[in-house]
Amino acid sequence: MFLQSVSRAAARSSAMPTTAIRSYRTVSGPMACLNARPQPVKKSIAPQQTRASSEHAISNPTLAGIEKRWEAMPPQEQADLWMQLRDRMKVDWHQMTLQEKKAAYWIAFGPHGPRAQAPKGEGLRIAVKVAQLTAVSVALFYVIHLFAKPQPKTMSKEWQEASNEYAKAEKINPIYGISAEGYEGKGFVQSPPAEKS
Amino acid sequence: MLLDILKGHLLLDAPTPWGLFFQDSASPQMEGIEELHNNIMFYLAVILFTVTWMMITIIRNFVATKSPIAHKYLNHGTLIELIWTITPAFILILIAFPSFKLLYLMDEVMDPSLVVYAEGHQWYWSYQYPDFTNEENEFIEFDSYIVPESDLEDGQFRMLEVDNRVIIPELTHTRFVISAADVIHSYACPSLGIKADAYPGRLNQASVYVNRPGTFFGQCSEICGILHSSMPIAIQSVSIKDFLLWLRDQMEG
Ligand SMILES: [Cu+2]
Repeated sequence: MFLQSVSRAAARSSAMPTTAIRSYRTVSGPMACLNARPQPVKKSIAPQQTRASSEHAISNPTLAGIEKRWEAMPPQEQADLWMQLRDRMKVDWHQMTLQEKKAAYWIAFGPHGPRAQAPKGEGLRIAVKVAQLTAVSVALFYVIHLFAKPQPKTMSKEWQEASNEYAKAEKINPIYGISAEGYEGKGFVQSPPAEKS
Repeated sequence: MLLDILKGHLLLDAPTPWGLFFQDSASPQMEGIEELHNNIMFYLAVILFTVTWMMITIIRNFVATKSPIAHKYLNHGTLIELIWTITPAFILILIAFPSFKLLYLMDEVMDPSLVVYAEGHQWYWSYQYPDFTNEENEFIEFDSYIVPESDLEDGQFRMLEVDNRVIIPELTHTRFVISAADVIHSYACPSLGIKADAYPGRLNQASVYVNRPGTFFGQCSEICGILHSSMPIAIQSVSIKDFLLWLRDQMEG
């Protein structure tokens, strides 16, 4: 599933493999047209790509409220509309109507497809799920840890205090460590006293 | 704990609990390595802060709300590309020069007055002192095995203690010749700043000049089989007088 969408996205290269993450509509037509590279496009769209620039403004009703209608439009219509806008953008942009400019901007950069707003509370749901899985891993670690061998006998305060004396006798770490003059650290001591058995 | 780290008690011949920095150095080589490390860390800090600042600035200035148009067809900037190629190259040169200087200084074994031959085995080290022979033409030769946990005396270091230590005189240029009998091992001792792979059929060398008496621990540093962790190295540096006394003991015994 993921691989499929990645390959699809790679073919289109302008869209992200979002289908694997969130169920966006896959906008195949317009995205294909946005891309400058030649690539396989549905036959019905192909002839339109070679159309020349258009000097006839697209009617206002066609573009009115495009923000609300766009995502519900069938891919074919989306493609046709985008191709018309693209042709309009080939002429002097001052001749475009305000409606056309707005629609062209919204279709190219608006919050739809991969740029759609994340559903509300998505961040929270991700945080909760990550916390849950982390808790499961920590629990799993402690369960496995229950079956671990006991710590070696050297991991006790008594042994480690003896290590300090031994280290001083061997002149170990005389610059910054245990054998240094004025050393105040704990040396090798790191464990609690051994349990009396 | 952080306070302990800041107090520097972790600047530590033998590893210590929570030791995050080097062990105390006992040779000019290790001092050189430490200094190179500190130099590089300086550049590293500068790079870390610069890159972090760049990332934060980019994130703050180019969020969708502040900069709604994605400049997706803008993909070249010759000046900025020159800057971000030449600057790292320059930093790499600044790091490479002291690094190569140290590398070639350490590589040279200066006219040593003593040779110790160390050979890796599965899983122990064996040593020879070929410079000194007795009347029968025998030289000193011994194996050095780990002391198992059950045989440790109070306070001894687990997994580091050996039955026969390498004894070398302090303030003497020593050549360690390193090889292996079966598989690849690696002879390493952090305080002395040496680490050399031990290959069967091949002799490597490392120069050691210990500038103080002490005991220095190391471990096999090339995975060599199931008991790779159980073939530690313990080198003890003693005064020349003590070394000669030890030598006489060995030759007569
Ligand atoms: Cu080994």
